[in-house]
Amino acid sequence: MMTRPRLADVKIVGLYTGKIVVGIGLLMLVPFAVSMIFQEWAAALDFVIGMGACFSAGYLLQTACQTQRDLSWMHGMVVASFSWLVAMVLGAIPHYLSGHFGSYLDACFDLMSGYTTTGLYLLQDLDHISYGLNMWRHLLTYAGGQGIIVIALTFMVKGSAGAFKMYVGEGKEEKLMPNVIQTARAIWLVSLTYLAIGSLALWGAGMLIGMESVRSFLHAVWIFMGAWSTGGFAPQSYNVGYYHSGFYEILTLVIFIIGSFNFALHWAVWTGDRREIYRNIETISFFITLMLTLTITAVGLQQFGIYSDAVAVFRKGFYHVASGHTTTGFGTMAARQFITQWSPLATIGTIIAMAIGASAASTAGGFKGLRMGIIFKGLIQDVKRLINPSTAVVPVWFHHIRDTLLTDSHVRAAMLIVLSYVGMYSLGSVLGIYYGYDVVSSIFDSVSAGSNTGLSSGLASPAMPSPLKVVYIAQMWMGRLEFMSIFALIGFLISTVRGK
Amino acid sequence: MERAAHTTRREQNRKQRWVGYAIGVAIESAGICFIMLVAFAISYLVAVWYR
Repeated sequence: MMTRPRLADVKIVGLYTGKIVVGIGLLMLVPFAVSMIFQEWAAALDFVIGMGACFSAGYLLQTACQTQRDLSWMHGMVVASFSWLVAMVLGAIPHYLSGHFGSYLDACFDLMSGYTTTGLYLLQDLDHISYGLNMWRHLLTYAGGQGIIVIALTFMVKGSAGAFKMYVGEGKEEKLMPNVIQTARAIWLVSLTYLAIGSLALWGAGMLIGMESVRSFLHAVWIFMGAWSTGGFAPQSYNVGYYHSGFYEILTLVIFIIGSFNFALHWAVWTGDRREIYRNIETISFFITLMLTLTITAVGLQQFGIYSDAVAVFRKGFYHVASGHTTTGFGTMAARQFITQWSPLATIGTIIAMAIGASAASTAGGFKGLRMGIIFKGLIQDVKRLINPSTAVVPVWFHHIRDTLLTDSHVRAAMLIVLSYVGMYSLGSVLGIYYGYDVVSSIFDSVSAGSNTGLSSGLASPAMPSPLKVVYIAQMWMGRLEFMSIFALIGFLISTVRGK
Repeated sequence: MERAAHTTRREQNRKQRWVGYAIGVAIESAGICFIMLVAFAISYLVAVWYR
């Protein structure tokens, strides 16, 4: 029997969603300032309207839903998933008003793609959008990478036991510090430190290839945000290929691979536990799966003999597999080349890399290396159980920040999430095939959306059918929040109607 | 005087913390480059062998 949520439950969800919406409005101050600096008055007005909508909705929700109660697990989960939807609808206002979108749905698609660090986009004429809108796109993906709940925990929400439940609802479980607010601040410290270092390096690289100083700086900050958050947004439609620079590509590679690692791993290495980088199950798992998927892709590329030397294989093959594996979505070639130029084996290698994804509690999506490692260890444990006497106890350990004894519940939880991802990838693929797209393109873009990668075979475009756009939005949302909080929201809505 | 010593200690701790962060950044960057190069070298050799 399901219990119907009471008014008090709805109030808690409304109160915290209101705080998060105000946070989104505050974020818009940055692109608004950029628009003012570059005298883009129309874009500045779009942000004023967007901020007005966010502040009005946020304060209205907080006033109407005033309560002193703290969040339970159910509330935390529902707030996490619901607030992402509300943030998408309100954050899309400046996008839509810019006139670069065919419909409000397209603007919402780009918003969800930004928040979830996916990188697919339906924006038209990307090469001629305002500096303000470009800043908003990249800031979204940078903020979404840390998590919009993390933003709220840093600036808007006072410390409470319930705060941790919202944080978990956003698909993060690691506590870098004993307190969740301190954890959120530590996440920002790591991200902002890398923002400073990475942007400076990219700025220099931009100047070296002859870009004008201010433009080079803006591109450096945006490209950093797209790389670190494993988002894949770039200010030009030709993405990273626009810069025609091997050095620029290597810098982005290093940034997005570091960005795809667990914040707990960063924190451990930063605070003295240097060995964590090669002992952690996620880095080991990442190294092995990267090598395997890269080998599949490299062999596939050799079949067609497209690239003649190692440098070309590195800049095209390795770059895209690493971009897919870290779920970044940066590219140095046109989308259709995955289908028309690469062999199917090379494309499949990239699809597997995207599906696996990178680390848990990072900016990345996909199954996550932690789960791949746990499932592999579980397999080893089962084989050991088979070959040992039935009474033998077979302990298997894995190292993730600390040594942990592998239990059946670890393997079961990992399998359930991986199965959910496979189901989600399949749903988008089948729908793509239903609408007449070829099988490989349908699988490619569905996995890309569900794993929050952003590489595209050319299917994701303003011309695709609206139901497919809605399914991709849902895939990006589910993939980023890792299902549980979305199941909680669905349960909450059903029990509102059918509960007793 | 006690307060001055406390302030100095705090300053030193802060400096040490930031040195630790800088070493962390360097180790992470070097580690990533190493992983990239080894993974690429192995897969490229396999692909060349296949050809």
